[in-house]
Amino acid sequence: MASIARCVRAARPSVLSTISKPIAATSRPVFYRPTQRCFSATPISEVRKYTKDHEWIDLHADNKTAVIGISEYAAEALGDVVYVELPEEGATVAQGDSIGAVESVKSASDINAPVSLRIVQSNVELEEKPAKINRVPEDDAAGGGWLARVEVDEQGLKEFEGLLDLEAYKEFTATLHE
Amino acid sequence: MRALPHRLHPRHLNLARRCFSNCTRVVDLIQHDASPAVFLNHIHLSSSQDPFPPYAVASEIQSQIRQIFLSYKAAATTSPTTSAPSPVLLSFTPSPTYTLGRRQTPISPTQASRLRQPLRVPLPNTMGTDPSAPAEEPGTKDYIPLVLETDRGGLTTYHGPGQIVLWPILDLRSPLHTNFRVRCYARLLEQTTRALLLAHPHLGIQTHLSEADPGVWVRRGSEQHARDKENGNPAAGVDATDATAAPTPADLTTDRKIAALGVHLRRHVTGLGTALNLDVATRGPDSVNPWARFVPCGLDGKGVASVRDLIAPGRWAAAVAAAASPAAATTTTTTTTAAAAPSGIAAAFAEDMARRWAAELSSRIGLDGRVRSTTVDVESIITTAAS
Repeated sequence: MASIARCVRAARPSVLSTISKPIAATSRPVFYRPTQRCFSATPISEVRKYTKDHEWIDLHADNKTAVIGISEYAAEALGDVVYVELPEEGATVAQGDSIGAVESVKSASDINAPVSLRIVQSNVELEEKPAKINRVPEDDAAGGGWLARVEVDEQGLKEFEGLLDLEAYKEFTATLHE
Repeated sequence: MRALPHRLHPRHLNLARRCFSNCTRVVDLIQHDASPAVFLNHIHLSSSQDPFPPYAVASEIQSQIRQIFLSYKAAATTSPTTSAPSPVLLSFTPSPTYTLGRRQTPISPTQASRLRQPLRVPLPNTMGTDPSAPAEEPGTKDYIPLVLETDRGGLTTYHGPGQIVLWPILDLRSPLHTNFRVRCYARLLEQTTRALLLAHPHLGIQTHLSEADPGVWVRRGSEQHARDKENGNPAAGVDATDATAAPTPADLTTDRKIAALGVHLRRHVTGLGTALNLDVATRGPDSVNPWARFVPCGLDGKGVASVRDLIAPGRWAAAVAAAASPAAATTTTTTTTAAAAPSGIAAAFAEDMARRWAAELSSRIGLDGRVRSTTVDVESIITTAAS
């Protein structure tokens, strides 16, 4: 669903993105797809990877900033989310560490850091509207169900390489028989 | 469990710490397994010193076992050589304890002090004593309930005597048994409890689920139904006239919850689980009724039920007596490593219910009812650790 939303944005760039483009182009010299912009003013990148614990991470073109969240598969498996425990802003965590939780049907499931990272900003909207994580779990734009904006270092980048790309993740979820 | 210190009685804290430092005996149980057929490893905790093992100790044992599962998973990604740990069921009946869910903000001092008022409970060797009896009545004991924070979903709940707490520790993705999604796992716990209550030869309790409110529920008026059923068809050895002495609650206008649910998952390894009310006071003033001190699970206007309220005294007596007799074992194989002193018939009934639940769970996760049951005296673990 998120990928459809992104295609729509790519086909019809918003007014905001048109205005902000020149500024962004100068302030961010490394840019894979400079024509694509989303409302959250972070560069769109196709480099989304997944963990076997069903988290996703979108690494931006600067190889430093990223957005994380839980996969559509996970959101579906959880059932109706009633509460999201957000990552603590500023926290530095290692790959696999618990950074928060989602609660559904009296079950609190830990969310783990897909790579070593530092939490920059949590998606506080999820506190008020936890159901968003069911509707648009893989949307990293404003109003989406993303969990946090993060920064990764060298170690995090190395770990990122080891994660599953969309195809591999789809293959992995297809093997889960439930 | 978070915030372990300062909320615990010093003795319990000490127990938990020593447990934490060395839980080798329980850990051995999990890892020592060369049999080819996978079974559910059922560990029932008893206590030879105190009538009830402390919740905090059970919680520490659980986290040790979960750590084995998590370590295995972490290692398996690089070298999938060793076999996965067998699924575990931890069961026990703790001393009175209130637990808070993960999303709750710390409760106010007023609420906390209300929960920590002394609570009078029947001791397990005297099941059947009226808990509303006068003070210092033999067979009852006043406890100061503990208030603990947990990582589970849900809100405040109560655990204590008259209840059996059932904590399966499974990897929901384990190759050894059926796999479950998070919400299906919650259903699995509920359905296991429902099947047990219905199929138990002396209980036959009808329950239902609620889409909105997880847990196992009984319809209002179930008590009357149970008594009518018995009057029409008295079970062998049960005196049907007992039915007239059954309590007749007047305030049963809502569905009531007989088993509560609260789960925590880390990397699909489950923790905490469900608690079934067998003989917990569900009415009366808050000096004896633990549920009167808070809104159970945040559900205003709903009640709490206990197995004993739902069946005629004759049936209850038969169920408890059957559990206390040695022939009650229903599991495929039963080994007892620790000579845990059975602390009364109520404890025997709770343990029997746990074994039946274990067998049911084992069937439902594709292990054909295979269970290895072990009763472990928490005092023996602690003694081992101390020496």
